[in-house]
Amino acid sequence: MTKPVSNYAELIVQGLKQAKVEIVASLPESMLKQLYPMLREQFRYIQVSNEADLPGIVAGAYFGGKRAVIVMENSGLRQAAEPIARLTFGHRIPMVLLMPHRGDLGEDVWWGHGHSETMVPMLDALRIRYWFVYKLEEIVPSIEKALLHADAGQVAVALIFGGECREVPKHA
Amino acid sequence: MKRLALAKLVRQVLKKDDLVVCGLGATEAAFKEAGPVSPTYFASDPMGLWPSIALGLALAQPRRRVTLLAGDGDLLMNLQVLATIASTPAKNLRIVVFHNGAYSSTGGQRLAGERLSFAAVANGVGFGWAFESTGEEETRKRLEELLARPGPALLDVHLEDEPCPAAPPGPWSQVEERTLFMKALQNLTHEAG
Repeated sequence: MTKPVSNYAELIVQGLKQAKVEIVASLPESMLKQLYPMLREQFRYIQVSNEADLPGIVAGAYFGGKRAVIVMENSGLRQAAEPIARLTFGHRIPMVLLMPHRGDLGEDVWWGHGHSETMVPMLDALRIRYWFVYKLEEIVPSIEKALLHADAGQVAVALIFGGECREVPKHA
Repeated sequence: MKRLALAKLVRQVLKKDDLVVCGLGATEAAFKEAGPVSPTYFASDPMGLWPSIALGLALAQPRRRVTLLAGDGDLLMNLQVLATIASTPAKNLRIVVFHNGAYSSTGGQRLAGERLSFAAVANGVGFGWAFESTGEEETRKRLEELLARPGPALLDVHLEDEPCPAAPPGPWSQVEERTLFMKALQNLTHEAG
């Protein structure tokens, strides 16, 4: 009997656990919607009301010796750009951002297309190294490597989940 | 009451194993002059970010008291963070607001919403304890209450509007400042065994 395949949300949780993440700061959205209840159950989960508050929570946790990550929609990059820039350029805070690829090829949600169009230019402008994660088997190792990369270089790293690694895009 | 008087009152109620996150500008200048008694992160830059950083620190260090010293303009820039703080289990986080209704280090421009009560906002979003205070006697009593009870809690202290010219950058870069703070915290943990 073959083992059932884990879905993207279970694998993200597994990756975060293996990377010894204890705190998750997030503004939830719909493309990783299966993930958020699991985060709330299994981590110290802090839900904000504005993405601009996410980088500070990660920075404070880092000061206090705990690993924290950000989970938000890719549009949140625009809202969080100022604190990310201040904390990474000035304070050199390691920061890992997990985001679904809202506005990816074939998505019928037209208002999300701009999120994709601005995502890579924003990441480049903020000097955030980023990788696309589109296959389930890539999730766990990518998360572990992202945390390692961010800590080692004291930089921000983003993982962008598309393909099998988020909800099937449809109006939400 | 002048802001230095408040900074000195805060200093009196802190213990050497408390953690302090101190906002920038006039608040920073006053608390540096009063002299910190415990590991203190002087934010230096930017405005609006330090409540969320104090929250992250409080969550990472739940056994230590974390006190945020926030200028009113600083806190007003990202006021929604109070709702986030209220929804967390950060019982070790307290906030003291240095409230003079002006951006002191940029020339004393009046704040938009200068009549705002931060205590009323904090109570409205679910803080367990939030008060305003005026004058040294009342503020000393309220500060003792603030530190004695579980957080998240906030004391909104009304101050005179004094000028405070912007200070030049200090000798350390921000990454050096935060490294020194992290080292001080590690030493504190090591001393405690």
